[in-house]
Amino acid sequence: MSMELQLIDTIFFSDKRKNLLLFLKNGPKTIEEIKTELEVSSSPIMAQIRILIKDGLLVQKDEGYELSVKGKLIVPKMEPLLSTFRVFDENHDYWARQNLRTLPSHLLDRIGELGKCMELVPDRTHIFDYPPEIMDPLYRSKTVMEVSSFFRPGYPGLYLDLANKGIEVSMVLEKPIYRKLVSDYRQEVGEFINMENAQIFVCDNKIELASSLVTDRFISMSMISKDGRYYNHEMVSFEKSALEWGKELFNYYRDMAEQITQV
Amino acid sequence: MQSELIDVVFRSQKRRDLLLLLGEEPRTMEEIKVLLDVSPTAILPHIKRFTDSNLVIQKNGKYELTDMGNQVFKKARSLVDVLTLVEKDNYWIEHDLGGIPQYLLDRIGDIKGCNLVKADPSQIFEPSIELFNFFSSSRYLMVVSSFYRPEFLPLYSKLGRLDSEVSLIFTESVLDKFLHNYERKIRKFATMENTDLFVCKDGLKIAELIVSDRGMMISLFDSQGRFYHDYMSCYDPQAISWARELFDFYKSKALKVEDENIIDSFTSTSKDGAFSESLLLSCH
Repeated sequence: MSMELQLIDTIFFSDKRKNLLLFLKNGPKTIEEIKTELEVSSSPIMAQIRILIKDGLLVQKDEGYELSVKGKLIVPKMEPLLSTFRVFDENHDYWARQNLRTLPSHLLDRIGELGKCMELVPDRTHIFDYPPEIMDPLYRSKTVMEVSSFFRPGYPGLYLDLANKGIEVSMVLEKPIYRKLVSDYRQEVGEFINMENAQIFVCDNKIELASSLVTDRFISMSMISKDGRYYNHEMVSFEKSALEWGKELFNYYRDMAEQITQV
Repeated sequence: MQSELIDVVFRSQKRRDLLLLLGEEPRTMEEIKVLLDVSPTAILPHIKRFTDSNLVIQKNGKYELTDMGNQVFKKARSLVDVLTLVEKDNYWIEHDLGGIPQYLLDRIGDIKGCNLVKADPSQIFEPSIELFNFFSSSRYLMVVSSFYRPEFLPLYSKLGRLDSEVSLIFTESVLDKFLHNYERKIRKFATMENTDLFVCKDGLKIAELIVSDRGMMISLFDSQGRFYHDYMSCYDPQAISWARELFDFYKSKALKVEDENIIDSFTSTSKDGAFSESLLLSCH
């Protein structure tokens, strides 16, 4: 049957030990570097270092410490686990409600890369818009990439405005959304796709996700719940790893879509 | 307030086992009882903790992981596999893992089921009967070897005649020695339909790897390059496919001995002790 696994206590149930192991993943560190990074004084951290050495996860090296062979096998598995748990813990009810399978599975497996997220729910006056908290960073972005399966009333105006300000704007839209956009705003769409820094891609497949907006400053996405319902909200992260994740999400849909060159 | 997932999953060994069990497939209470060897009263509070944390739901009389539970399971599984591997045996940390490429090292938890087979000191220089017998009824056999083991030659030939797929990767010194002593047999083996012979540079960082449909074995050198005749072996399908990938890694770096010309060039050059460098790709 299953093993007791003594090391679980060692690696998880002390924040000092856990953080130290993750810090040493980047290579050997001196005790001074450890104290500065973890903001600890000598004697409490030395006590934890001794435990980690005793359990064979750490070895002394020259003036500092580094992960042992055992540590190097284990610590890389801790990081994705802890980051996934953290993303779920911070917005537990949100993730429990959503249909996570609407994310491509290779990106769902890396959901921890979203890092610190916050859910923004617009007040009634902004109920069809992006929340005001992201409008400022949106206009400061250099590139804006959006994937969307629903129609935002702000579409032609906002995106045309961003493009006119010299921002690179790319959109992947589901076919029905594109059709609606063309029938309601033919002239604006024509103007938009004729700009050098603006692109529209149309996707024949269903985009399962509600929407994802990723720029060089933040990612803001919204999902459909398990019972198939949608309410206006944005899950926003400003972390670097999240931007990379969002770019891959955009590329995933762009790669199965076709660019529109004329209306 | 939800408690943190790390506590939900790892504070109790019962819950950890339950998560790993339900990660395989949905289970009824009856199955959980038997597989985890617990009473319903002992396990129900743990199930409730999981359902309260949105990791498990009850559906059609079975308990199953939610999408969130499945993500938590995947991350826990890969960590627990590595912890099991290192806590079960020190073999891996006492030996040189340099011969295993990073992408397979990342999945070393796949071979957590390996057991150490210690050499019997009285038989260290005898043919390894256990290995021979174990692999003798394989439907396919893949071998990477830094050793000259002439006692296995009959096994290779026998399996070859029985239409099993047999692929061998020898280092140049090992092939050299085989050719010196068994040139006819090796020539015959290399030209059979269902057999492949490859050669790679000396200095492999693994001592020996044998994979078949029946199981796998691997032996490594220690950090000083010493070899102790012990090996690790496992019959899990997961370990077998890991070992096959390791074999494929070595195959991609080896030269196929596919016609007799190569053997001719090998036997002629190796007489002066130098094998043509250009024939071999680096095995590192």
